Amino acid sequence: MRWVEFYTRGLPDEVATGRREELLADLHDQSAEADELGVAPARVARQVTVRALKGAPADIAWRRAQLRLASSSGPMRSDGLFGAAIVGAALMTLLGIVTLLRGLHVGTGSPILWSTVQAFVAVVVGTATAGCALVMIARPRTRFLGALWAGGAAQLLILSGLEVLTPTSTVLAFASATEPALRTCALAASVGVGLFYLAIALAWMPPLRNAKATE
Amino acid sequence: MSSRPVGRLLELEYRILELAASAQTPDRTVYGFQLARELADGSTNSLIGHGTLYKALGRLSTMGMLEWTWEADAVSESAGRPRRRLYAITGEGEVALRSRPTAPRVVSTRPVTA
Repeated sequence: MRWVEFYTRGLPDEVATGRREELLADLHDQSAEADELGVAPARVARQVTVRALKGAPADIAWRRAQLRLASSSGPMRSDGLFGAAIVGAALMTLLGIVTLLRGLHVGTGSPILWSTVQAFVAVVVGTATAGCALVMIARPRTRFLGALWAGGAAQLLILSGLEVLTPTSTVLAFASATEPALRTCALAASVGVGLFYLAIALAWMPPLRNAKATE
Repeated sequence: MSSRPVGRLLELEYRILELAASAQTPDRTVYGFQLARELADGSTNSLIGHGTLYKALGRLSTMGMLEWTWEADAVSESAGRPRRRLYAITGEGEVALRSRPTAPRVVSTRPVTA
């Protein structure tokens, strides 16, 4: 029963309770029949364990299906995830555009470092990726890919954006010179946003087409 | 989660429908462990996995080929056991069974009894 408690956690009460009760009745019936037939309790325990192990992949698949169902029928939860993903992608696109505009503005008339050019190109690519991610997240069929793209955009935009913006901002230039942890913070933010979108992508992952239905 | 086309049944699901269709109880229902035993042809050594069985039952119910109800508390309490979920084949399930693409496989000649 520990296994059933594990794979029904977080599911709607009615679904989880239904599965637990049904399994309890099944185990009771198996045990009662074994008693009638005089089967040793240790053997019954083994048989139950084997049945649980054989059905474990199907239990996981069933859990995923139930979560997907709960997610699609629960507008608050679904909309919350969707809203967070779309707002994040929109903010990244906006951040990328602002960074590019500021970078272009300062770039005229001042010496340009090669590393800044590289960072600028990364921000261009990152902004385009974030924009594409925004469109893909808005479409249900491409939502999963959109979340992955948004995670990739974050990797390009945050660190490179800092690199591009630093020469344009006195505050950033000062902070960058006096606070070595600034870059580490940017790196942490980049990884954090990447993981956030990876988690969303996993939640939206479509069923594998070539996966055999669990027998 | 299933990648199968909607409406396409697995061999296991056809077998479950066959067993439900041949139920001999007054209310023509079957329950989990009874199906597990019958699917193993009476042997308790090769019983189907819990997850496999209940996932298939859930899918057939979702597809409208089986309908289920909880056993009356009075019945389970008088028998001193947890209540069972009872499954009955629907008209849709019978149609699916009749229109099975390959020749039906005989799984058991014994009537299904509780």
